[in-house]
Amino acid sequence: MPEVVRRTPARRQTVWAALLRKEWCEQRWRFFLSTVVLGGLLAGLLRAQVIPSLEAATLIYGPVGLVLVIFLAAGPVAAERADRTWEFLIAQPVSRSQVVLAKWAMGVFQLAGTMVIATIAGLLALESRGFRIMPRAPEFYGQNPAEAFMVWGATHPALSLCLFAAVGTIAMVCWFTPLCLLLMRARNEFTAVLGGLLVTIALLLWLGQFHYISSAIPSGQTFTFWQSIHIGDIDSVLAWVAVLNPLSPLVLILVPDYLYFLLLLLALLVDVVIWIVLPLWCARRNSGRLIEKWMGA
Amino acid sequence: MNTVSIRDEDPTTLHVRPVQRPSAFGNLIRKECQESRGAAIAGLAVFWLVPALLELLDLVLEGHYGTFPFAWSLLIGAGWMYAIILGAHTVCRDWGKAEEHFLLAQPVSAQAVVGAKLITGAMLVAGVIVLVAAWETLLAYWGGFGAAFRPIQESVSYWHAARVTTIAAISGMAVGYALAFAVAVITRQMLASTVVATLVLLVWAITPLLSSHLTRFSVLLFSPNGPAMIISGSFVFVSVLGLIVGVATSLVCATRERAIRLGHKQLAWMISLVMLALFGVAMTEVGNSLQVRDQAEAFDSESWYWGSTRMIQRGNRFFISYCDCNGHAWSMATFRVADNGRIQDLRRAAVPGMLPSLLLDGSNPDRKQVELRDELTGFAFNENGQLVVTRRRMRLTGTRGCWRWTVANLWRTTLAWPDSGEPEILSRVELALPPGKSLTDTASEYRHDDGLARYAYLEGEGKLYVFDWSEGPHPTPRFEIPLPQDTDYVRVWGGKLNVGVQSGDSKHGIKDVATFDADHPETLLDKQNWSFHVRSTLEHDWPQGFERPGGLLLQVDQHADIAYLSDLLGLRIARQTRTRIWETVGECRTSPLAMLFRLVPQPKAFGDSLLIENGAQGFTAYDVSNPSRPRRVGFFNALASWYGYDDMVLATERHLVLREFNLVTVLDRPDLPGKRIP
Repeated sequence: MPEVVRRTPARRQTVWAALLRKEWCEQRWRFFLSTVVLGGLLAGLLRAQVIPSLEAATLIYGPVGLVLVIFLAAGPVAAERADRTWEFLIAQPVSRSQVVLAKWAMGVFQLAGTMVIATIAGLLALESRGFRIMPRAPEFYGQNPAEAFMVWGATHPALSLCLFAAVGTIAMVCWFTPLCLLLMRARNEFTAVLGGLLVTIALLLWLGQFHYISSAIPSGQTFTFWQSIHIGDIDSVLAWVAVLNPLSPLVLILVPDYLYFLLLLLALLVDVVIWIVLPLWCARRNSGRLIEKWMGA
Repeated sequence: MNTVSIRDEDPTTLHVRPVQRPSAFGNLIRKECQESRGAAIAGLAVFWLVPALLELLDLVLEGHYGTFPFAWSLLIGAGWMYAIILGAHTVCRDWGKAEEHFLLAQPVSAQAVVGAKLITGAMLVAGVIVLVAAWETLLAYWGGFGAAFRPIQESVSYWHAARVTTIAAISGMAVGYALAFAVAVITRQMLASTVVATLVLLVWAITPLLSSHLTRFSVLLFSPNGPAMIISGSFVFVSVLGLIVGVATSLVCATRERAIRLGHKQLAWMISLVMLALFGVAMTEVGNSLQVRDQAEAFDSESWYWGSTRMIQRGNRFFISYCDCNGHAWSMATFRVADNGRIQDLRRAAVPGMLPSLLLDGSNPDRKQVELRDELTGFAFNENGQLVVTRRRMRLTGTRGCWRWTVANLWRTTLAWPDSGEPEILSRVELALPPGKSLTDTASEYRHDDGLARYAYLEGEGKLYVFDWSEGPHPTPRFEIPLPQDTDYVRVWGGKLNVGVQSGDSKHGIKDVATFDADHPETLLDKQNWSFHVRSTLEHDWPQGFERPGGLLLQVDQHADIAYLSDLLGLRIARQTRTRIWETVGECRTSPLAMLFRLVPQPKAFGDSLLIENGAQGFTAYDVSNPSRPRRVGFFNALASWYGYDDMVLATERHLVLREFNLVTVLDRPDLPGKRIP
């Protein structure tokens, strides 16, 4: 009587857990490093209060956050390809899309975890010196967006910091997703970092479109998005294109206007669809064939 | 070390011919030179050929004397990077690879190989420097540099600065090269040695700009007489030390077979920790926010005129006067700062006795109209702790384009504001102004601490009327003093009465001023006391001769025989040793970074232990309990520092009270024991 071999189908959850565990073990040093850097800088700046807390948050979550996005996006695949473990990995009974998705998920977890821990460190630093309310300036003071933002966040420093961190995290994930997929083509980390820097600079140049929009407004008027879309057809299109930038929420949150708040929500929704859902859908199509072609592997 | 050669004629005979060490070393040098050709071409192309072509192109396009020293500037700015890359590349192109074993299998020692590499790389760096310097000297000799650049070029300070920056750049290149070389010998890794050497140079260059304790290691040394480009002994010491350490480490570690490998992980941590350390140094130097205990808005922020607001204190009780944005309604707020720093008992009330504004015949703006408005000019405590408010009723008369403010009335009230109740008038003094006279007040509405002055000075129709507030409820003019015919203004400010007249150079806004003690009006009666000074050369009370180059404006807070002097370069404490002889007893210098936050700092001492410097980006607190060693103990980013009110910060025994517009903030005093911020 032939022996009946009972095969237990590998449960999907087990595969996912194994992939995530592997990624965590390989990439956790990046998480700790990012957390130390971002948390240290934010907490130090908020405790020292050299600049107001929201300016500090803008400075840290913006440029430093982008550097961390490049740092986290450049590592997962490029390091595997440099160490020749990528071929071993894809020889396992998992699809490329599963591998890519696991790497992306771990990156997002690390990015979000870093932002959360840094924000908590920032709040603790603020609390250690006393939550400071900024003065509400007289009538002619606080008219430009940056100053008005300070007025907006004046009475709720902790809340505004948390809100800024949440929007910043979503914006960073929006940029992390396409960058992570783009940098899969790199054969080593050095190339990946250079490529990431180049693409991020291009993104920042695109973000400069907001400056173009504000400069198109006649002098003497304050910068309002709603005015800018009525300037002309081309400018109107450009204004809406600017919202598609994954970092546009970081600019829109600087304007304390309820219309801008609605626009901010719209931008977040559109950016999540365009920069997170769509790339992941493409990556998972046909079990990662597109990724395979892109990587040239 | 010997080699064996076999002669053809006699195969059995072995002749041993010693190879001279110099020739082996020379061969190694030759080998390194051949392998360094690529690096040499790259260095010459980047630092000489391309900039020289640009300079020549510029000369052709601009004509004679039209270019800028591109090559020299590029070498100053980026030469260190070339030196580092070259140092790492010279070692790593064969050291740490298979060629290393091949080289060491030759009859040469490891030190000889590494020494040859070291010398070759150094010669290459020196060659690039010499070529660039020769080229630029040649252009300078021919007068090739632009007309805009030539006046600078001809000045002594330019050549001094050029020499210093050149020496500094060459020192940086030499140290960078030596360190990169040494790290490359230890790690055998190009990236690691480049990163480590860059970090070391970065720390060396940036730290002196961040920390006031390390400024002597900077090239841009801040000498006692101001900022100047000086190559200091400390800088030379660090340079020589870096060179010796680099060379010695290279030669010692050349024989080590085991390399210390630095992976991406270690390098990333190293970069991050160095950046965090630099950031920590910067924050320690500039930041350290004081502890906020409590905050409250003393009054509504929407409808008040910020320029009229004043804050005074008596113990831990504070009073603030303010008016609405139209200047019509004057109000007061009071609060108490508890021992735990909490703001308690915050109350607001209208200033009693103020009359409402009146607009008479204002229907037609082209017709003559009259407006009456109250202004508060004094807000202080008298010796009994009662609130004294001085106010004036202003009359605006005239038609459009021709307005005139005169005093309709002037009075002073003493108020009591009990803990549970509204403010009450205890006494009232109203000046009996001479009828039919058109008078103007000399008191400033921005200087409320003159509100306790015994005498009031009103000017009108060529005379100065002096009233004594202590002469009953309706004082009459005590003196009527004729003013010079060309009197331009009469103003009481800070206890001084200044009479300004137009001088011969009035086109340039220069006026002659006679100054009197406002508490002694009888001195005005003596003609001999009417001596006029040019206002710009008016002698100050504070110590003279403490201005220094680079310090910009000097601000002084003087208390008896001790004076606190603040300028851009730091805080100094001076003591009067003999009459009008002041000597510096202590100084707290500031770092170049901290200078960004202290443009025109205004010092204000609280007792013998605490001093606040109100700068452009907030205020800095110093512990001055030991005048010979003032210490920086805190910082607070006060948003309203730009406005520089002298009543912006007041102090109780345990706390500082800050007023920014309408917001009151209670902070811990950093000079108390146990409250010092590290």
